[in-house]
Amino acid sequence: MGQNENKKLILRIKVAYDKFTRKLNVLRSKEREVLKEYKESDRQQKIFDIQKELEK
Amino acid sequence: MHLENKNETPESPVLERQNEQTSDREVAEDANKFLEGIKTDSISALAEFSEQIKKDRGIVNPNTENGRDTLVKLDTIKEEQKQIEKEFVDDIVLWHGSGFSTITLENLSIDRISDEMKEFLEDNGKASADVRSFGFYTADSLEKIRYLEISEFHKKKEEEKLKKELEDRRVYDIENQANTLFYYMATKKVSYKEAIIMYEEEVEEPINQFFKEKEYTLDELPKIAVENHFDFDSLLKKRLEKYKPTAYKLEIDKNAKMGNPKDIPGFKSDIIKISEEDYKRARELGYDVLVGSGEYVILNKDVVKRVDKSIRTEITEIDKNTGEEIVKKIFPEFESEQ
Repeated sequence: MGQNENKKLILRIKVAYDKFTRKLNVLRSKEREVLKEYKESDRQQKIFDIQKELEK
Repeated sequence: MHLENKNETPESPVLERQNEQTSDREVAEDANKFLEGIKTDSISALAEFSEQIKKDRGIVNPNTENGRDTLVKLDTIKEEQKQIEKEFVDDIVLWHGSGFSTITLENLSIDRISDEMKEFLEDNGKASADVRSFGFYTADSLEKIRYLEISEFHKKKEEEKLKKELEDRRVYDIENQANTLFYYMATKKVSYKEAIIMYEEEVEEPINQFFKEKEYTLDELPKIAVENHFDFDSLLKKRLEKYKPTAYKLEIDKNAKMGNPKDIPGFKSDIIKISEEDYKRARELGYDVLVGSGEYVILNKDVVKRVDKSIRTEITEIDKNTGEEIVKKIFPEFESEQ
């Protein structure tokens, strides 16, 4: 096994792994955004429900 | 690996460690560890993310419209996560053998492929432009790959080998025929076309189409021929090899002149033609056999000779130097001529 080939091999893994982590991080951000939206929407809904209750 | 950290620094600790390793030796020694580190990091990151999505789902109230929408979005994210994992594995795997598709991060491993596999990949590499040295396979699928693919590989190799042999043979024939044509033109002083006719008549095989497409000169033929080297004796020996071991005494009639051999009285289809020059050379080469089955031998186009069968005789001589007996096989008629 040549050293250069090993280097190429590791570089290949590295590039793939970088791509993987980038995509996973983007997905993680998306997940956070979804959860944030849900929480915000849920909070607004609760406020709406409370206001509605107070108005009664 | 913690994803929060990944947002701040693009590379994992494993990659950072790799950057510090600059020498080729270190890189080579760390190759397997490097992959293992990557696997550990990525599996850990995926598990962590899965756990996070699970927690998210626990927070979401499925009884509200907002909650149901969020659960759908989280399901989509989960699917995207699986896709990212698959792409990651695909990016690393150099070559998928047919018949399996179950490589995952867990079972991904380096296989330092054999020479046979290298050769196969070079010839049939399917998934990568750079498949010369490594393959990534699941350990349990490797043998399956070999079973499925190598048999086809060998079949293809056999076909290629045969094709190459046929091509070599074609080239060999052309080179050989160029040799012979040159030989005829140079020694018999015949034209190119006459040399071709002579070849087909004497060798009893058609001249290659190659020589019919152009009329080659005496200067050009050696460039086509085998290594530009003409071994007339070898050529003659080769031609004589097929003659049967029967010798004939030749009675040369220098005044006899005949055109078409078929006009010769007593002509038989199996008469073998040989030039006087060839005859002499064959004698010098030690051949006690010249020609085959007919009553007549044609020495050249114009001279016809009647031949009588010669009887090969064994004689015993005493070597003057060693005193040992030497048994010689001779044709007396020929010997007496010399």
